[in-house]
Amino acid sequence: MDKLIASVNLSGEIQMVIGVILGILLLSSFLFWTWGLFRSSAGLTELKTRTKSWWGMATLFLLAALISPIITYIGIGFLSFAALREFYSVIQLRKSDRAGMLWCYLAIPIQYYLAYMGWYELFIIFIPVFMFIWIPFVLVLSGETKMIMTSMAGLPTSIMLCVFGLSHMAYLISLPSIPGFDPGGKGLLLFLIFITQMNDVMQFIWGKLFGRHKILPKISPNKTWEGFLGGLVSSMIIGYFMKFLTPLGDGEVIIISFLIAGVGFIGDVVISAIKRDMGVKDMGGAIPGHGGVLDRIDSLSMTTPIFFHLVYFFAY
Amino acid sequence: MRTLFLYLTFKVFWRFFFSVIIGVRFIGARKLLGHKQFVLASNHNSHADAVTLMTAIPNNRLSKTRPIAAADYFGINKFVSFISWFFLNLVLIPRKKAENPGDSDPIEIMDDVLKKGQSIILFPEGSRGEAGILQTFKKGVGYLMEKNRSIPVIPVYMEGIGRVLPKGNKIILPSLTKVYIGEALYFKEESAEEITKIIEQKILDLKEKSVKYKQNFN
Repeated sequence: MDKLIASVNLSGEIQMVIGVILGILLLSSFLFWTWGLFRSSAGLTELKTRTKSWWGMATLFLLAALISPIITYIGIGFLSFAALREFYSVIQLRKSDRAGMLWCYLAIPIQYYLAYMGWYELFIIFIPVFMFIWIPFVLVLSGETKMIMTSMAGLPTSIMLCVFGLSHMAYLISLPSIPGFDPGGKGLLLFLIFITQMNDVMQFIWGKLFGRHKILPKISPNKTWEGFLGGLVSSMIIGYFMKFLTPLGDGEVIIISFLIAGVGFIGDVVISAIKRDMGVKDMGGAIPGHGGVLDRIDSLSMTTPIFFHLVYFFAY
Repeated sequence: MRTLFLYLTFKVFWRFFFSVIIGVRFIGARKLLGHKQFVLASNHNSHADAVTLMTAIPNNRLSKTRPIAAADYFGINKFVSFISWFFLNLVLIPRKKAENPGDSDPIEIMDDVLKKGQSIILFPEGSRGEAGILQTFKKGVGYLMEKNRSIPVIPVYMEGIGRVLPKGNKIILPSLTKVYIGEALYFKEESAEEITKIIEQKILDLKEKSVKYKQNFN
C-alpha cells in the first residue's frame, strides 16, 4: 500500500487541474440545486442526472489516470472494449461476421500491449495495416459473400473508431519524458480529455443560450452554428490557460485547442449519423443522462489521434 | 458445500463474465426475491440462457434451482450428464417421447423436482429459436402448473442474448443484453391450455416493453 501511494507522485500542475475539475463539478451541482429550489422542470432534472454522471466519470477517470500507469492502460483498454461492444450491439451484422468480430475484439489487448511496450512503429500500423488486411480475409473465409462489402467496410471502421483512436490516449503515457516538463504523459492526457469534454459542454451551453441557426438539421437537430463557434472560441481560451499541462508554446496550444474543438465536432456528428441510420437515439444506456459509453466518447475517438500527432510533431 | 460451490461458480465467476464482459443487465431482478419456490419461464435463444438466468437467482435459492435441459444434448453420455449436473445443476428430460416410447415422462420428472421443494428454470419454447422471434409454447408448462397450483410462475424475456451465442455457432461474443423479469403469476382454476397461453402472453408483453424501450428516438 505504501508503495502504491508513493507511486502516486503528482506534480503541482496536475494537483491544480484536479482542483479545477472538482471546482467546476461543485459549482454546477450547487447551481442546479439552488435553481431547483425555485423552479423545477424536466430539463433541469436531466441536467442534474448529467452532472451526477459527470461526478462518477471524473472520479473514475482521475483514479484510473493517476494511481498507476498499469491501471491507466487497462482502464482505457476497457473503455475501447465497452465502446466496441456498444457499436456491435447497435449496427446490424451478419451471422457469418462473428469470426471477424472476434478478431476485432482480440485486437484490443494487442493494441494496448503495444502501447504499453512503447513499440511505436508497430503500434501505429497494427490496426490500419495488419488488421485492415486480416479482417476482410477472415470474412472471406466464412464463405458468405452476400452483403460482404458492408461488413468489410464496417468492421475495420469499428476498430479504427473504438480502438485505434482511443489507444493513442494510452500511448501518451508511454511517450518519453521531456527534460524540464513535469506533468508528462499524465498532463497531456488530462489536457486532451479536459479540453474535449469542456468543448462538448461549452457547445451545449452556447447552443442552449444563443442557438438559432442549425448546422446539420438532418443529422443532429440540436447542433447550431452559435453553439459550435462558441465552443470553438471557449475551447481555445480554456486551452490557453491550461497550457501548463503541455510542453507547448502559446501559438501551438491555441492551434491544438482549435483543432480539438473542430475535430470533436466531426466525431460527434459521425457517430450521430450512424445512430440515425440504425434508428436509435443512444448507443447504449451505461451512463444515465448521457446515453452509452460511445455517446460520451464520440468526439474523443477522433480528437485523440489528432492531438497525439500534433504534440508529437511540435514537441518531439 | 454444494451451495458454496454453486455460489462461487454462478455468483462470482459467471456473474462477472456475464455482467462485465458480455454486458447483461437485469431489469426487475427484485421480483425474484421472497419466493420460496418458483418456476422461471423464459424465451430461449442460446446455450448461454440457463447460465445467465442462474446468475440472477437469490443466493439462498441457488442450490435448489434446477434449469431444465434436453437429455439428447446435455446427457449424451454419463460424463456429459455429470458435468451438466455438477457445474450447471441441470435436470435432464427426454425431448422425443414419441420416437422412443421407453423414455420416462418429462412432466413427471419436473413434477418430482417441484415436489422435492426445488425451483426450476424452464424454456417453454422447447428448443432454441431465432433471436427476437418467439416460437409457439409447448403445453408441458401448462400440465406441470396444473399439478402445482401453489407455485408461482415468473415470466422472463431476454433481449439480445441470441447475439451472444446464436444457434449453430460456436463463437461466444459480447453483446449488450437486457433480461426483463415480470411479476409472479399464480394459477387457480385455469386449464393447462389456458395456463400456457397466459404465460406466453406475459412473455410477449415483456417483449413489447423491450421494443418500446429501444424506440425512444426523437
